[in-house]
Amino acid sequence: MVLGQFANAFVLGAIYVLIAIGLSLCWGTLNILNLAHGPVFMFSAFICYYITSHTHDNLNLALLLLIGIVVGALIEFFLDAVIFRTIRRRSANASQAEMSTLLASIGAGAILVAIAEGPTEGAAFTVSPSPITSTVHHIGGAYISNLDIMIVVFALGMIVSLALWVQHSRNGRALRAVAFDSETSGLMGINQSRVSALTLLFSGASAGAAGVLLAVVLGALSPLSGQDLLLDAFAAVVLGGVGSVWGTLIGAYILAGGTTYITATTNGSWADAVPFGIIICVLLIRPNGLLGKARVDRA
Amino acid sequence: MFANVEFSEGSFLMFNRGTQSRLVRVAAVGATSMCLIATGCFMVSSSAAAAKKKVTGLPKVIKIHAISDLTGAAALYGQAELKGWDLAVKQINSSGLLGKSKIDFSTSDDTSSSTVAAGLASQAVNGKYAVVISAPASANAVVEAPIFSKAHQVTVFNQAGSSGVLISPYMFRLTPTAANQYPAALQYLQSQNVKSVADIYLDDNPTLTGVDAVVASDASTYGLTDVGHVGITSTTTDVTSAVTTILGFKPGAVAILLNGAAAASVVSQLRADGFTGQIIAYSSIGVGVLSGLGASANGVVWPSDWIAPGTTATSIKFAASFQKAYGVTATNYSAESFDSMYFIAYALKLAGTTNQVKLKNAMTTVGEKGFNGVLSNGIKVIDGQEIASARLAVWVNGAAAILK
Repeated sequence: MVLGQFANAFVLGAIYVLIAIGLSLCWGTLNILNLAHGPVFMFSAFICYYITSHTHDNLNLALLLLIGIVVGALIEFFLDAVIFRTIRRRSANASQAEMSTLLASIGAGAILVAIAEGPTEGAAFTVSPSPITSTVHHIGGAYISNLDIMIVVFALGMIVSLALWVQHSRNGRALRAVAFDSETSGLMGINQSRVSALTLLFSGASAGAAGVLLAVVLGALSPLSGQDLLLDAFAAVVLGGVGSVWGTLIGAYILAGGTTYITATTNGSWADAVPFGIIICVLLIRPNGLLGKARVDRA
Repeated sequence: MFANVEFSEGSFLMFNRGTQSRLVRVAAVGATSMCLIATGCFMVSSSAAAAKKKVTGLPKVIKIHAISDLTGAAALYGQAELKGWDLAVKQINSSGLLGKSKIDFSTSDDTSSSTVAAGLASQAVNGKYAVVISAPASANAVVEAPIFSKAHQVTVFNQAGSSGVLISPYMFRLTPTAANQYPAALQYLQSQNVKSVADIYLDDNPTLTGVDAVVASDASTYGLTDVGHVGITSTTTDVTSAVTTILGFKPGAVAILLNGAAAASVVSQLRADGFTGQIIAYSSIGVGVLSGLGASANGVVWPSDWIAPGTTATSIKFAASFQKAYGVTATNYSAESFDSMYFIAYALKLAGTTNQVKLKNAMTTVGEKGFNGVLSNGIKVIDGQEIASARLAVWVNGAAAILK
């Protein structure tokens, strides 16, 4: 059973990574705490459900994943182009912009949930009329399916790719510049709108992929599933350090480990409380998270 | 003496003072008599009207209002109930069950929030409704109940199976309690020679926590060893850890006392982790939750007070009209709400008035005598609580069926 719980934590951590990385990137670079991120995760899976329930086609996993990624990316791109950028442009200062985009993202998330609740009437939904099955491997008491392995590989691959991109690519450097000092980076010729669009596209794509994968692995999601996971993603980001790619990975796995351990050893109601307790302890020692850097605000 | 005499001041003055005084007294007596006669006539006609009014007594428009969870976490049940109420109101109004009176049915959405539910309940008690139907989620019904109790508002509950709901003689719950129904599932396990059971339950849901307690207390009655319990919260999306823990108890059967997506996830995960034993569940699993799981969901059994199309003529007719109206198969939630609206209508007819005391008494009478509904013939409501026997449903090839 212990090995089984390790395997569970490993997969859960990967799920948290997929959801948290987009949140971390937006918050760390653009000061956008996008609370529509959880609903976007759910909505991407919902669109897959909507398509398959109307066409009655069994789409393969690759196609479902593609739909989820595209839907997620487009929604967050739209949110940025229409709402977040407008707010940033019209706000008196960065602090006001941050608060206003936070509130706007909550509203946008509520709209997505309301849309999903219409056809589903609040019921659980699946992304495919027939379940997508995979081979399950029994390894020393742990059951790991090919889908579980795929999620872990996908999440780790995404983190590594993102880290390399941020570190070595031209756009990645631009992203880091904007994160460090958006005002000066603008003066240096960096197109902030382009950077923000790329960031939100990636963020939405990762949320969309996470939504479809989780719907397939769990068998079903509900319109409120995204909001439940958003809190966990938020906690992982804060724990690891806002804006830090590797920090998000570490934070996600610490949270997954804590949640799994508590669920396995105590009454389930402590599953939310104890991991957040760990976060409080970490933040008391390192307020910027494990790998976060202190922000320097210019007057 | 008065014949052909025109009474005028002048002619009055013709008489002597004694006669004048007598005339005044006679006139006064006459006037008083006329008034009394007129009043008596009025009272007679009023009481005749009142008697007539008493017989029909019902207003032309009878206002009934439901506060339901139409969005949010419990929307699944609220939406199913809404369909049942709507269909019943249409049929009651078109059948003339209440004579010339028609039901004006309205709803408000508490968004599955107990704060919103309390606010809506406070508004509803001022709405002069004949009956208010309360939210399905126990957490919301429990906050509404004291408000309705204080106002002596006749209230009907569908679902809301926890304690703290039926706190007034004006309240009636037209759903049998899950705790009373669940032993049927344990009995089934006994019939299948299962020796042990573990359950996974929502520990922030009063109804399901109550069913978990029933499993713990009644397992031995059915020859089962209760080997373990795992609680999760309604915000838990990933259930793999809970499933691994449950399987660590090595149960012969697993009882899934969860709602919505979590229930489907646990079924899926149990089978993926190699569990081949019997799975029993809670009635909410019958609301299409298992649709996307394919063959892995086959054989899941749960107790329910009704499974489409039922066995009685009323039940089969309801199932057909529901399918025709909404294009989907009715669930027990819709069946219960349909029956509850008819229960209200029978009570209104018996009471002949929307007076709350008389309506309450009429509901008590209808409940004690029993009425024929979708759930069964002779449904009784005793001390405000509906009594109904449990049937077992089984999921087979993508649909729920009555377990034979």
